[in-house]
This record gives sequence, structure tokens and C-alpha cells, in this order.
Amino acid sequence: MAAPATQQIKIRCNDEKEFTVDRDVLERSVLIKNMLEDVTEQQDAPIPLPNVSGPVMAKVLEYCTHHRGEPLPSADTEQSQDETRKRTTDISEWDQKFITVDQEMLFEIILAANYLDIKSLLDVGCKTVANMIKGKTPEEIRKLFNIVNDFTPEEEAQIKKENEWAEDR
Amino acid sequence: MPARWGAGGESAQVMPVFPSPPEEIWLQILAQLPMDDIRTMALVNRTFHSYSRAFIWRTLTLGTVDSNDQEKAQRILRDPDLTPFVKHLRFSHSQFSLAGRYNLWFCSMPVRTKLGILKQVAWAHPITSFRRLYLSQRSIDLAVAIVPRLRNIRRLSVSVFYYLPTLPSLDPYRKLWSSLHVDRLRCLDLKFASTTSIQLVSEAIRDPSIVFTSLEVMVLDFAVYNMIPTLGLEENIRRIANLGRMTLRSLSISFMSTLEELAILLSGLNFFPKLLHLYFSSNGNNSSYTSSDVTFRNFIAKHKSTLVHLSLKDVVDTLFPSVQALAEGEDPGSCPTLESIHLICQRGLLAPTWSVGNPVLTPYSSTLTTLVVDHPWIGQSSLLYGFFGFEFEEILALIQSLYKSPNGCILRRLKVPIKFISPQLFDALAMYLEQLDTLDVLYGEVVGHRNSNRESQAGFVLFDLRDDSDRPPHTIGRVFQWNEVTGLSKLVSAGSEHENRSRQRDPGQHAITVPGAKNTLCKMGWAY
Repeated sequence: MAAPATQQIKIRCNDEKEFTVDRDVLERSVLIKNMLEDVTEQQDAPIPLPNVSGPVMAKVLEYCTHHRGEPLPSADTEQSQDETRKRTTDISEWDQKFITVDQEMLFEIILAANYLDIKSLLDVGCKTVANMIKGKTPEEIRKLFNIVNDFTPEEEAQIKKENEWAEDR
Repeated sequence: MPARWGAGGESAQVMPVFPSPPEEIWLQILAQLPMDDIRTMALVNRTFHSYSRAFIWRTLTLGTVDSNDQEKAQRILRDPDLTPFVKHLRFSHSQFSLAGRYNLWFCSMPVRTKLGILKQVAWAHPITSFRRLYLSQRSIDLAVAIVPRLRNIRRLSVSVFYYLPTLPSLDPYRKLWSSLHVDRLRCLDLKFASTTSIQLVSEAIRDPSIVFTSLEVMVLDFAVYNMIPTLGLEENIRRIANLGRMTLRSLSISFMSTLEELAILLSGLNFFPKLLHLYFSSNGNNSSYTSSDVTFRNFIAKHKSTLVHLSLKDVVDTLFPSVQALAEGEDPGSCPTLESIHLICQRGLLAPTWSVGNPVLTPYSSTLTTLVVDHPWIGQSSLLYGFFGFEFEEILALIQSLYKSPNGCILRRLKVPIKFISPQLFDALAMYLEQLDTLDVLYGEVVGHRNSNRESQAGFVLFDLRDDSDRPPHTIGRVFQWNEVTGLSKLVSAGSEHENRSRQRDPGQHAITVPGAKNTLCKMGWAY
């Protein structure tokens, strides 16, 4: 007996680009999963995703396709953010290759993952940015992300002093 | 329109062409960073400074001896811009100040004169919303003063260290307990250095009306449970099962009155997946057995076949009959599943008696993988000179005899006083280190002779030699002011004091070398 056909879902991005994707792939996104659960009858109209562009969605779908079938992280993975929390920036080899994109695309993917509620992809994106930051000086970070230093010299000195004290605790 | 990247208002800075992530995303990114990098981020611009503060000031530690620090602490706790970020407040004094960032149980407060200031600070701060409180032995008086305000406390961490020359009085703990709003307390962390000290506290906080959802015994992993006769066996066993079942490594049951209780407890040991050592104390008022009691000996003998980890202070003679008893024809029996032995021995007892080549241990050596050689803590007038009861040669002879056992004993874990950590030891163990998983190093010495209130310190270092990661071989991954406590830095760590200090700031990236050891430190701690 033939396996039941996987339901195909159509989505439309903000640049009118459309994708037709297996439902289980799309359901990596909690947002889309909830949308689909709310729709009782099959609809032919594509699901509009006004916050995601076609190229970014293509990357997101690449990620979702690779990780299809993997268990979704529980929604209430509440992690205490105190000093006892384990900070890890380990990223799997495939994810590392996947996320090796230019900075603009990286942030677009992070924003899309946040909007679509794909926690694992959001984690990969955040860890990648964290890895870019690690070990750098403030000036290097500013240069990396094109950030202008808006501190006055007095403010900067004050924060340094504050940090110094905090460091000794 | 491009997103605004700056702090808002006139000083906001325009970001590049792509959209900037919102604050929630940056907070997630910062959450992935070590504290040093978060401090760096605070210096990037006003926006990131504002994002970083929630992480930097999340935990505030008070109680250092420097009066300037006291003033700063007061300033922070009274600063409306900073106070909202402070979620955890610790009262501590850390002689190794940096270590305080890593070890919650590293605290004491030696300067009592500062208590008044700290009380003022604590009263000035809106601490009523705090959910967690960390206490050290020396800050217990302060805690007693402020806990009535902690109406929402959910988690209490208490550190009591037995190494102090004078045992702590129970009175402050009783006061603490009586004034604490225990009705909301759900988790108790105990960080102790000895079963005796934990007994002191558990005695102070014994309250049949409290049921903890969690009791975490961190780092040293001891817990003591005193059987409460009025509760009945079933309730006692239920409470034992609640004692940090996921974290407990060592459990001491005191005042156990009947063998039936012991039998039920043993059958329930699978509640404690990490339990390595189990102690029984029969010295309570209702004691009905002793280690020489025939019924009890038979009971232990019956359960030997299923025990895996066992340390019975009172009944060690039952499990391990003396050489003399063997000579008199006593059957040593066997314990085919025993993997660990915790020996609490006196000097001179070790080498001739406790060796695998000796018929006493032979029945167990085929499965024995862990040997912990402990020391007699109690009754030593000088922690420095009488700290450990063994001579180096005794330790060495024991180790070598274990390895040379014809029964193929493989030593996986070894716990030795730090004074024996030397090239000589590593030379002697060179051919066996491949088999050794864990090396516990115990150290201790007297550090202060300035006045009559002599203070002592001691600590534990656990080297995990099993790491099969890609890290360079022959390294240990953390350095903690070795030079101030022991001679270990001279032995295993080259480099100046300055280098050592810089290493402490980033313990994960630097290493010290133990000749012959192949892998990395996984865990270490300090106790005061």
C-alpha cells in the first residue's frame, strides 16, 4: 500500500514569491503550525507571510527541510539566566555551514526565525552572532556591526569603572 | 526607513541598510555570551549598555572586607537605575574574589564589624521580592536579621564548612529557621564540607511540617537525613526519597532504628541515580544495632550481592573482616557488584590492611573501580600538620598494590591529599594513568595566624581525566590561585603570578599541566 501523500502547503512571502512545501516541513514553524491547526478545511489560497522575503524564506525552508522530523523544543524551555546557566555556543556542523551567510542575511534569518517562531533556528542564529562577538573589543564590535559609539568620554569612563567593580564580585 | 540602532532620542545612531534585531533578540544573543563579553558589550554604545546591565547586575555579592566596596554596594542597592536589575543577592566574603563568580558556595564573612553596615544595606534594599538567598556560615547572623523580610523566598542556599577550628553554633540556624517564611520555601541547597556540619544544620532545620520539592547538595554532595520517629517509617522513607534525588551523591542516614527501615531504604536506592556513597549511623537514641551485632552483620551480608556503591562507616568491619579474623578462619564472603569503597582510616591502617593483594579485599577487587581514601577530620589540633593521616609511601603502596592485583582491579578514581601531588606520584602512576578517570585532590592548610581567631581553609579539586575532546592532551583546564593555597602551581603550572591571575579571569582557555595526565579538569571547588 502506498504511503499517504504528504499534504502540500502554499506560502506567499512579502515579495510575492510563493513556495509549495510539505506540511511537516512548514510545521517546524510554530506560527504556521498554529495557523494550519486553526484552518479546518483545506485551503488553496497561500498563507501570507508579510514579514519574510523570498530569499530569506528559501534559507529558512532549507533549514526546516534538513531538520524535518526532529522533535520540536518544548515551548516552556525556561532557562534561568543567572550565572549558573550554562552558556554554550556550540553549533552542529551542518548548522554552521548553513548559517555561514553574510551579516545581512544572518540577521534576516534571525528575524524570520523569531517571527515564524522556529526556536532552534533562532538559537543557531543567536549563537552565531554571539560567536562573532566573543573575545572582541568594544571597538571591534562597533566595526563589525557598524555601530556608532554614542558615549561621552565621561560616560565611557564611568561604565568602565562600574564594570571593573562588577568584575570583582 | 532604516531601523534605529542607538539608544533612542537625540543620541540614537542610524544602523546599516539591513534591519536591526529588536531588543528581545539581542538579549537572547547576550544570554549566550560569557560575562566578560557581556561587559565588553556594555561598552559598545548606550543601547548595548542598557541591554547588558540586566546580565551584569543580576547577581550582587556583598560582604567583602573593603570598606570602599561596602560603599559601592550601598550605592548600587540604592541606585534606582541599577536596583531593578539585581535579582540575586549574596552575602559573602571571598578572599579569592574572582572565584566568587564561579562558586556559589565560596563564601564567608570574617569581619563581623561590617555586619552593621551590611544590615543597613540589606534593609535599604527592597529585598522582599527576592526568591533566592545564599548564605555562608559567617553571614548567618546577617541572614537572621534580614530573613523576616524575605517573605517570598523560594530557595535557600546554606554553606557551612566544617574546616573551621570551632564548630558553628546551632543557635543562629535555629533562629534563621524560625524566622524564615518556610511556607513558600521549595528548594534547599546545602553546600557542605562534611557530614557532621550538614548534620548540624539539618538538626537545626528539622521541621516535620516542611516538605521540600528539592534539596540540592552541590559540589560536595553530602546530605544527612535524621530519622524522625514521630513520622513513621513510610513518611521518613518518602522524605529520604525527596532528598535531592537527582543530585545527591552521598547520603548519610542517622538514627535509623530498625533493620527493616534499612532494608526498605536499600531497596529504594534507585531513587538516587548519582548516589555514590551511603552512610549509616546507628548512634541514635533508638539504635538497635551495632556493627558487631550479629543480626546486622547478617543483614549486610545478605544485601552485599546487590550493592554497587557503599560506604558504611560503622559497619566496614562487617564487609571487610580483618586479616586477623580471616586468619581465624572467618569466611570473607563476596560482594560481586561492589564498585567503590570509601575508606575512613587512621594512619598506619592503610598500607598493610587495605590493599587488593590482601585477602581482605580480594573478594571485591574484580569489580572495584573506585577507591576513596579519606582522612580523620575530627580531633586534629592542627589542620596543617595533622590534616591527613597517611604517609606518601602508604598511599603509593596501596595504589601499586591495587594495580598489581592478579584479579585485574582497575583503579578509576583516586582521592589523595594534595601534599602527595608530586612528580613522584605521577611517576609512580605513569603506567596506570591511562586507566585513571578521576583524581580528587584534597588540600588544606592554616592560612591565618594574625590573631586568636585563626582561620583555616581547605578545598577539593577534582580532575577528570576521561575527557576525550579535542583539547590538547596533558592539560588541566582551570587555575584558581594555586600559589596562594598550595604549592601546586610551582609543580604543575609554569608561569608568573601575573599569568596565573590572567588565567583566573578566563579559566576555560588556559591550562596547567600534570605530567602524565592526559585530559582536563572538569570540576573543582573551594571551601572555607
